[in-house]
Formats: sequence, C-alpha cells, structure tokens
Amino acid sequence: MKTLVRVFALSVFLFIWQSAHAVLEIEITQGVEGALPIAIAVFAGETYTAPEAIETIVRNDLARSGFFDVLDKQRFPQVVVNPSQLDFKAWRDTGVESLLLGKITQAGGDQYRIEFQLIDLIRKKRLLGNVIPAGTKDVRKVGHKISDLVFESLTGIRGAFSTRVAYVSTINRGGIKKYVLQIADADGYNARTIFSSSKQILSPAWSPDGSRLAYVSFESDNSAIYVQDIIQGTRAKVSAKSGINSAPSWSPDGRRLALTLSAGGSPDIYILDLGAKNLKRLTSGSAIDTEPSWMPDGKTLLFTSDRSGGPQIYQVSVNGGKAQRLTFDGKYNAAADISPDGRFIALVNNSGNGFRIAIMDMQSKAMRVISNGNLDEGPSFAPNGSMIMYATADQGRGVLAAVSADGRVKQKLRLTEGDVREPSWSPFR
Amino acid sequence: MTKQLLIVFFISLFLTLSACSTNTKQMPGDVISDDYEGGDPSLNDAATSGLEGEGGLSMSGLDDVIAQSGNVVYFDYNSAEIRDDSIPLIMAAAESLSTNPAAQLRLEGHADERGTREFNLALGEQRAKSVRDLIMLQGVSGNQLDIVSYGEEKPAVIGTGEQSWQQNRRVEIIK
Repeated sequence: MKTLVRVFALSVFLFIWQSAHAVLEIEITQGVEGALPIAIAVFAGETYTAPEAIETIVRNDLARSGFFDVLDKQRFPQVVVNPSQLDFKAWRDTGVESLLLGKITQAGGDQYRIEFQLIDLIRKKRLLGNVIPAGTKDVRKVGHKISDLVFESLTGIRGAFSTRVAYVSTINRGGIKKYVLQIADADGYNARTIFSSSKQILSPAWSPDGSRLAYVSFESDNSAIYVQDIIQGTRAKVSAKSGINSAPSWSPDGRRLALTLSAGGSPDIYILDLGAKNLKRLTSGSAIDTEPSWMPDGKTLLFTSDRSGGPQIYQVSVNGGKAQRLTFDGKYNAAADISPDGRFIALVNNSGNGFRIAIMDMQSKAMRVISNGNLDEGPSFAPNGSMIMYATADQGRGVLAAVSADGRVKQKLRLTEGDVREPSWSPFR
Repeated sequence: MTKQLLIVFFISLFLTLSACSTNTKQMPGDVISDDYEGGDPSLNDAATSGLEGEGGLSMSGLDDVIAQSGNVVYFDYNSAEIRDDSIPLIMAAAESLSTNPAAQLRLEGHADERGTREFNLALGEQRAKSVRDLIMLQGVSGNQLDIVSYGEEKPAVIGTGEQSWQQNRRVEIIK
C-alpha cells in the first residue's frame, strides 16, 4: 500500500512535471521490496523551480534506480540546514537510514557553490561531503553527479546517472515523416538531434569512449554505415557495399567495427578495421547471420543466426571458425547485448507469448524473461549493468522502457512527440 | 510456340515442386496466415489469362498481370520461400525481362514488425533474393535485377495483427 501511494504521488508529480516540459516521461510500473530507505532534504538556498532543482533531480534519479525508497517530504521530522542540528532519533523513527543534506550559495553572477553531505543515521557517520562550484547551466549535470556519488557510496556500484542514451525517433509533421537520431541524458532530459533524415535510421552504437556513434542510414536508398563524431558533428561513411550494410558494433578497443554485410551472398558477420580499412569475414553459409556484439574481452563475438531454422544466438572467435550455439529456450532469440562484465546477455526472446526481453546467465545458460510486451526489442545495458533499456509499444506508439537487471523495477520513458526506438545506452564518461 | 510450351511446362513443374516443399517445411507452431494459405485463386486466374495472351508475355504481359493482381509477392511468417500463389507474377516478370534484355526490375524486400529490426532487414533481403533467384532460373541475367531490403522499416500497412502483418511480408516488383 505504501509503495502504491508513493508510486501514485510520483506519477502525479511526474504528470505535472511532464505537462510543463516536453521530455521523456518516466513511470514506475512496479515497486521493489528491500530498497534502501533514504531522505533527501531540501537543498537550502535553492531558488530554481522544479524540475531544474537539484533536489528534484537527485530524488528522481535515486527513486528510478529501484535501489532506493525515498522518504516523502511530508514525513520529514524537522527542517535541517546544518548537520549539528540533526535529531538522529526523529529521522530514524521515519524508517530512513541515510540522509542527504544540501546547501546552495550564490558565489557571484550566475555562479553557485553546491555543498552536500551524506549522513549514515544509524552509525551517525558522514559518508560523503563535497563542494561543487557550478554555473546555472550545469545544474542537471551536478544533480546527476551527486546521484552517482550517493549511489556508489550506498550500493558499492558505480552510478550511471550521468550517462546518456541514443535512440531513433520518427516525427510526423504535416504528413512529412522525419527520422531523427537523438541523444538525451539517461533521465530523458536535454534531448538533442545529431542527425536527421527523410530516410530510415537504424542501430545506433556508441564507441567505447563515448565520443562517436556508428549507425545505419538509408539516405542513399540502400543501407550504409556511418560513424559520426558527436562533439564535432563530422561523419564518415564507413561501409556502403551492395546489399545490406548494418548492425555496427564497436570492438572494446574502439578500433574495429563488427557489422553485417550481404555483398558476399547472404548476410554474414565481418570485422572492419577502421584504421587500416580492411575487412575480415567471420561467418559464411546461406543462413542469415547478423546482430554481432563483442564480448568485453574482445576475443569472441555473439551474433544472431537462423542456420538451425529460427533465429538463435551463437558465439564465434574474432578469428572466425566454428560458431557455437548458446540459446535453446524458445523459437526466437536475437539481438544479444552483453552486460559490461560479460556475465549476462540481454536479448529478444519469443517462447510463444510475444517478443520479450530476456536475460541469460552466460555461465548457467538459464534464461529469465524480464519484460511483458508483445513487440519488445532492442535491449541495451546501462554501463554499470544495473538496468536495461529497450523499445516497446504502448497504445500503438513506440516508447522506450527501462527495467532493472533483476526484472523487478520497470519504467516507461516516452517522448511527447513521435515514435521512439533503438535505444543505446552510452558508456561512462 | 515451343518456347511458350516450355514456359508452361516449367510453371507446372514449379507449382508441383514448391507445393511439395511448402508442405514439408511448415514447422509445428509456425504462424501461417489463414487468408493466404493454399494460394489466392484470383492470382492464378490472372496468370492464366496473361500466359494465354497474344504473342506470349512481353513487358505488357507483366503490366497485365500487375494490373490484375498487383506487383507484390507475399511470404509466410519468418520465411523467404516462394509460395505457389506468387509464381504466376514472378514468371510474368521473368518473361518480360527475357524478351526485353535492356529492361530492369527492382525487387524491394520487406518484413512485418515482429522480431528484431536487424534480423528483419536480413529477412527482407532473403525474400528479394528468393524472387531474384527464381527469375534468374528462367535464364534472365542478374544485371537486369536490382535488390534492396527495407526490413520492417517501410510497412505497406500500419497495424498489428495477421491481416496487417501478411501484407507487410512482401517483395515489391518495381519497374
């Protein structure tokens, strides 16, 4: 019941927030037991209005992660500005174990000093204490940075709130369809278009250093692969052979792209060396081989193949040779995305109930379905492995959803305009 | 005349062969469209009139078939295998290309929205290649055929459900 109320309150809040800002909407569709109870006190001196307020940004980051149970402001036992005034017992009585205190002071012009402290209420200990100088423009960045530090301090896992997501959106304006490749903060804010076309765009993939995106564009009618520097905006066509040029995936060292080409007869996996510009073929045969994805050690790749009838996931050495089949549960397994530690893969599975996102343990090969749509696709792990973003249909519209790696917390992210799909979660900066 | 007889013979042979292969390759649990199973009789009628037309099938023969039954070859779910109901259209296309060696046709492969976008891009190409291979088997040069796949990116019909999906699993023959 408590969770329901909280979810409701958050939904109302997000609804109001949503009305004022055309951004991705986030909705917590399933709560989680055993989350860490935390209070985020009002950032004293904060004069911005929501959602730009740092306090709001941090509160939403932590609540959305599924790792935290954030105390409702109405239940605060006291207004605290200084830790010396803390009534530890009163705070503990509300059930919280940690308290984040913040203070913002103007440092002249549009410059601010943002102080924060994370306090362990049980052991009466300061876990974090930092001062960050920031301009008005940096508010969201600072908010996410604080979330990252709090997350890591309390869970031991590096926070991924300062990361971004790339995705493809189709926008229909006056009957004219436009395809846009966008990058937004992981919470959906600050969306900006980096490429737009009247033709289809597919499969954005981040370079390991987060500076470039590889993607498929149909701008010259046939599919071709481009690599775009997201800072400079410059881009290069790296593959435009006859037939299919698609499914780019960066090697962990960022020097090579695995991709799918059909110039050799049927769709097969190749490795393109971006420096030497040479191609190495990894698979052959008349079956469809596509959707390559590098294992973190760079020694093997996973890919989708229908060589046994329906699509299944296979593993092959970067030197080629015989591929080994990994998936056997369900008649459709495709589009494997590998967790940063290489222990799990997220994939699209159909075992008769529709196309859903499943997680497979690479060691035990046990598979668990973690989404509940009918046409879910495009799974992409967060760089800390804690969540997976994917594309799903909601009332006929393409939306992005995120689910915690254990499948317990689900959220939907929605652009207020257009169909959104093909999410790709960025690496850490 | 001999040539026409030969074509009719090949069509019959194909209908028989592909009927066998379609039946044997259906897997239990595969989604097969009710609407299109066993072929659309109207397409066969159209083909018959085209084949028996004056002077055999020229480019205008293909035009006749397209005018009567459309320029689209449909496929079963997750399959790139040519169905019986599409053979008359493909044969008309083959005949038009062999009588007009300078003519070109473009084959655009598509898939329905189910499954991953990248796999569907590959599937769309396999479908276009199935059509191309059957046309080339009639002695047509590969240079007269241009293939492109759009996967699930350019659906003919927007909507979810077998009615829409069947219309989207296709190869369009474009002059």
